[in-house]
Amino acid sequence: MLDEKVNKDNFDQFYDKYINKIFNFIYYKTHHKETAEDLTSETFIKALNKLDMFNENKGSFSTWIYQIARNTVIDFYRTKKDSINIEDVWDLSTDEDILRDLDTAKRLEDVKEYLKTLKSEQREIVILRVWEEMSYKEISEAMGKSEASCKMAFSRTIKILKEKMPLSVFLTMLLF
Amino acid sequence: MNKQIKQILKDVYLIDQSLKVHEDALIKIIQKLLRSKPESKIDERFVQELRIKIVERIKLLNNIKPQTNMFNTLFNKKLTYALGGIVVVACVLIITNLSQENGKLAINNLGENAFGELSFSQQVQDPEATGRGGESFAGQDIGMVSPEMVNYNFIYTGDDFELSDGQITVYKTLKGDSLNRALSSITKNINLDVLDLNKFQNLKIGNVEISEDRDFGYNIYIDSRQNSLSINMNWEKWPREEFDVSAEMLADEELLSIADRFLSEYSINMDMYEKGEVMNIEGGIRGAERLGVIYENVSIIYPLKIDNQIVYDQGGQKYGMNVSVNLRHKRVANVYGIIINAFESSQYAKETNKDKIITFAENGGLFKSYIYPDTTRTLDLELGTPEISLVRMWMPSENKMDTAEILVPSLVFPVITEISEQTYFYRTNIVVPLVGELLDQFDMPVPVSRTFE
Repeated sequence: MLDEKVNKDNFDQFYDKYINKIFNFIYYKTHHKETAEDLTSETFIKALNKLDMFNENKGSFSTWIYQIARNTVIDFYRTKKDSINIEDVWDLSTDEDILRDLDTAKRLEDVKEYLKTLKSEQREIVILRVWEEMSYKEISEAMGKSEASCKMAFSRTIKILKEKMPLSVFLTMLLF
Repeated sequence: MNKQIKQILKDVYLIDQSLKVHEDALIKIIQKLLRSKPESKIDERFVQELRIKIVERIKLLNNIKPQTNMFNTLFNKKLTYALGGIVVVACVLIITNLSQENGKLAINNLGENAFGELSFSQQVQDPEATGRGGESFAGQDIGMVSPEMVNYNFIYTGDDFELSDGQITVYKTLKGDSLNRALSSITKNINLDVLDLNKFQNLKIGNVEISEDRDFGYNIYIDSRQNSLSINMNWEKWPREEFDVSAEMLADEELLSIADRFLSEYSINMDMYEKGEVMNIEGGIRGAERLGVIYENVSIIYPLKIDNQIVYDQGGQKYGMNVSVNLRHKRVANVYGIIINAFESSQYAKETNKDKIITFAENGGLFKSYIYPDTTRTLDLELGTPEISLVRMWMPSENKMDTAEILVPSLVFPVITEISEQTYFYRTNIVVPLVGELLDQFDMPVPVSRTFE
């Protein structure tokens, strides 16, 4: 557990703590390993370069690094697509000229249409809770929100998915 | 219903109890989401390389700031120019002298067992060697545990080799204080109106940074405490990088040509280095290029060569001067690891038990990989015929307060099995020291992986 304040001399310890989490976070927003690596590198280098601007009174390091990662992904797609409405790969149609890992695309086949309809923030909270198995405390730090609002948002999102996912999705599960 | 789903639903019901009547549907949704989870495989090589990049950047940032502050707060502008001039002249003299000393690498032979009992230091390591900021790593792989649980089984399939009796030469890096003394002589020429420096005794200059004030200029950083010399791009004088603009990947020949030209232009003494090699990092730069991934810099290693033996690090990678070429500007961005040390040498008894050496190699050499007790996947990796080289290690210094760098003759076994892109194994060589007493210290059980956060 890193209790101390982040600075240039101990940044490598924070890197060790967050590298996997940030990579996964970005991967779930890009679905492409090499792009995720590239943007993960950019995230940590940006964080290190802007460390003087980090103010722990305004939020935790976790909130800050996730925000940099989030913005880095947004910048990546917006620059590529010249659009202000894109936040991550979920906002693109599958036939667009964007690299995706085949295995991931296949795995997401059944759920992508429903996850795509969610707002980026709702999708993020589902991903962090279900795929990353993060506690609400961790999610609240990553998203810069209170635990209570994260719990509320997750609950609402599950309700939305229940209404949107047709019976056919559940029936396919019987085949497993 | 598994524990994770139970907990997720428990939290959901705390917010909205009405959802409980739809429990069956909710369970199916969560199960569906879990089954759809992409396999995000982080590459251990990527983690390691990015860590090195960050540690280097931290060094650079730490080096720049104190100098700027000191000059801004202590001295007026005029004085800064005067002082800078003195430092530049003195440093040119120092570097020239060092080059002359090392043109023929200075090695002082001290006879047999002169360094005392060789023991591996577990307390303080060079952060660059492990990428883990000085933590202990004896007997373990380099920290990052593969997200895919694979046990590696090394099998020696090389030719029979001979190990003659006798002694081998171990080298010890002499940090010395020649750099310190040379730098400190500068202080005699500094005349500050606000302070009489000559009243202080036995002054030493810890480090000096010289900045080149031109487009694409460099900072030359001399650290007399660590006896290190590096050249880094002067960030203030290079165009601001835009990460979303593509840079062209260069052919190896062009990368090497840029690096060689730079070393020649700045008269860096190359007598103790092998020819440069482009470091094939991060799963293969060329492969990444095909996938459209952009790298800012590509590293070229000029392996250190002492008495015709190539020097490796403990992980089996070649060690020496590292030149990093910026792809965007087709210029050298940084040079690290310029050797300015002299060495002492001493002779030690050679390990001649071939079976012991092969067993040690088949157990993973100096860095033993974790064993995952619960995995069913084992990958056989063949080891080819070894060559004798030097391997950079550390032992406690005489005062036990820090560590001394030693170069130990070792057998370097190449991993000859072709590794697929799907695996996270990245070591190209397995290293076995040829000094018996060191070999015994490293001969510890292979670590078993534990669950950890």
